[in-house]
Amino acid sequence: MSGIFKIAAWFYAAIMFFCLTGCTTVLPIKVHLPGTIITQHRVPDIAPGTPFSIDPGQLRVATGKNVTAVISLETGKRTTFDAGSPYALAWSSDHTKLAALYSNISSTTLKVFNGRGALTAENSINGHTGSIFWTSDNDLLIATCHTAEHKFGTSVRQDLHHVKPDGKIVTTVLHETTFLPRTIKLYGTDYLLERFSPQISPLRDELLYVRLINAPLSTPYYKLFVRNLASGVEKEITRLEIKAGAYIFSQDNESVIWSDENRNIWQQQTWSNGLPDKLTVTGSEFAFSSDGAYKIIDNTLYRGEQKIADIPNDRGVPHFAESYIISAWKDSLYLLKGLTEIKKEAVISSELHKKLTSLRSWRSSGLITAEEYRKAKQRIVNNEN
Amino acid sequence: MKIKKILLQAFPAMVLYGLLICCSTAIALESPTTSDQDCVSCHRRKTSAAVQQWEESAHSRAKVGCAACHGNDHGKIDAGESRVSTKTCGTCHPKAYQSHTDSRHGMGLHSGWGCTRNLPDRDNRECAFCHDKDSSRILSTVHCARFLKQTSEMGEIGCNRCHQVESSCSSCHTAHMTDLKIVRDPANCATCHMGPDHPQWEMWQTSRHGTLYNVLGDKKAPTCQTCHMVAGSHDVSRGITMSSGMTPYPPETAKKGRAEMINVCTECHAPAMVRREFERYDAVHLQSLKLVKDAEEIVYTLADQKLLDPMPNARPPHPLSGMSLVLDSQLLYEDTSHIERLLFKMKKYDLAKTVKGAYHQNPAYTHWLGNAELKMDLIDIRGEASRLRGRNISPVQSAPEKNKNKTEIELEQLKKKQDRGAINPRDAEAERKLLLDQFIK
Repeated sequence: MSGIFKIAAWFYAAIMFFCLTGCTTVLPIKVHLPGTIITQHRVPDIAPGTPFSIDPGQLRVATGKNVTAVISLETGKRTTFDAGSPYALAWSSDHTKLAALYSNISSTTLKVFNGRGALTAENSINGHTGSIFWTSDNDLLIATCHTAEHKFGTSVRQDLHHVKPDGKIVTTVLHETTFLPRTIKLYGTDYLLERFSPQISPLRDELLYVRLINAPLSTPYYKLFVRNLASGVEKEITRLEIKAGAYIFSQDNESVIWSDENRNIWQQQTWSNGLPDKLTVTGSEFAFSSDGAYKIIDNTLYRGEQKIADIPNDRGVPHFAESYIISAWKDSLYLLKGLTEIKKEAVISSELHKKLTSLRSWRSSGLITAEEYRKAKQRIVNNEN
Repeated sequence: MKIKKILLQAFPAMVLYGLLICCSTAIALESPTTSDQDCVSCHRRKTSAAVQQWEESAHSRAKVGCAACHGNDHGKIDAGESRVSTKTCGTCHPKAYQSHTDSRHGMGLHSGWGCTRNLPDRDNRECAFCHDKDSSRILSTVHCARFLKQTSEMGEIGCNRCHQVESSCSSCHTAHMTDLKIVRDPANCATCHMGPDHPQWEMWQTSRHGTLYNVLGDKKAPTCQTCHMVAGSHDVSRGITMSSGMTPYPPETAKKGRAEMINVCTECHAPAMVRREFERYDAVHLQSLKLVKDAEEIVYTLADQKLLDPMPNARPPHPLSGMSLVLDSQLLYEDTSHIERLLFKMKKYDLAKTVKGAYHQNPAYTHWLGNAELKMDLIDIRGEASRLRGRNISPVQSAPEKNKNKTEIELEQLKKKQDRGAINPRDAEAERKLLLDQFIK
């Protein structure tokens, strides 16, 4: 009898366990170094296509499925900020504000909420399919694409909108082009527009973006450009084939890393005229930790040259957020931690930030040489330390 | 006997009466309808040449009167609503109408965009640019940016007079004369197929073919019609292997056209010679396109660097593309920058001369008037690009607003001094070091 009772008790405990945990999905990480990666937090109900923004410092994630909501990773508490479903979200660097972009028919609505969900600002911006960045605690940068169908093709205009703290918006046209009909037929407008995803430098003072070149007598290709946001000066980095991989700034802010159509990864000093270096690893998508110790290439985590783990991810590539690795897989987000702590990005003072970005702006404008910049930067950083 | 006498006396009268009956009947048969007679009787005074031409024409002999083409409604005619279009002529000349409509002449008014039906990777959706759904009828929207820039007068007499070949048989056949001698003479093509952008008349005339024609006539030398309107066909696209913008057709599409043209050439020439010649023409074609591509790349790069002067967004909008850079077949020769104007000459005039000179067997056009000009155009474009780059104007289209600090202002002034040679590089470097030292402290 007691044996039957025990079996029944275990049976009911198992049922209770499943009821409480809701059939928890485990991220099937393939670990090359045992015990190096664990799942710290799981956020369910983030299906592919749902925008999200993680605030690792406050352990919360903003999501855009059906409504705009913020979920605490510690308590699971969910707070609805807005009834609308945004297509892009971004926490400010001081963790006090959340910016969200909402799509209208031919324009975009920007809303800024404080940490408690109160709406503090609202603007309308021309264009759609945008990316959103905080360039300071109070300045927003939104990159949008505006398309128009014509008989001779689809014209595309990339705009950069600087939303100032006072709500004033200054718009700069980054690039205008026309997708020729045969190019659209070959690749599809959506695929071509997907590549228009600018990247911002870690110092948030430079932007990396692509321009499609679709000349009538040539095959189409992209040109990768860097733009210094303060000076407005732009420089062409390289040409990319349509099927090329990702492009990002290096964590030290000084170079650009990109993957070509053959999955070779290249790195080049942003404002020099030298030739790029080819990295030893290959891949299409990649991310680097702030201390440079870790990298993720096509869902494989490396420490230096050593493989740590293969991390499932079905949206882009897993990326680093402070000391976490963020993976999006199936309908969940996973915050992962390793045994060896990934160092948090060093916080630099606003004074240092201002001096560094000024130097970088002057370098881009040609007011100082690359060598003068390097020496001045070294002195400033040494003074700070 | 008496009867015989009566008959003999009456016979001349009977003959005369019979003749009168026949003549009046003949006269009655030959007379136009009442409405046509009205037209002729009035227009013999008003537009005597037109009536005389018609009376001497095959239309007149075939009893095709005024109303058959112009209709009966004089009010409509006066209002210009009864123009005789190709469709009208097609009622009686369906074969010619169909082959004309299907050919390049059949899209003369829409040739700014160019028919895409034979281009590589053609998207079926492109058909909608010119056609209603499931219709081969061309929409009336004008597709030529250069036409849209003209005054209505210039558009009519400088553009439509040639391009209306699409909708008017009289472009070649004249309005009322039907003598085939007119349309069989290559000079008939010269009105339109001449000039800097398509000098086929000049090329042919001074080529070996043209010279032989001038001396020996069309029995001994090919004319425009010999090669491009074989056996009187109105399909002038037959044998063509490139678009009107000179983009080569893809090999599979070009195969048919090339075979058709080889058939024509081998009427007189050995097949091996013909094939060899076409290989040369094709090679020159591609070589010329490469030069144009290099030039285009220069202009695109300058546009990227926002160095065109003026930039597209700082000049009147392009009629079809708005504030965009346009370097394709809709390239303008007005309201553009100087370097784009150079590219226009290169693409529209000199590329055409080189390529068409080759395919029309005219060495001077191929080389001196074409290829040499192409290469000199490229030098001009590179020179202009160099000048634009050297102007050192800020490439920023709309510089972001910012508060400049004192160091930045001084660095800018120092740079300007160095750029104009007021300070040597070594001294400038020393000054920059001082400024940076102050900034860092």
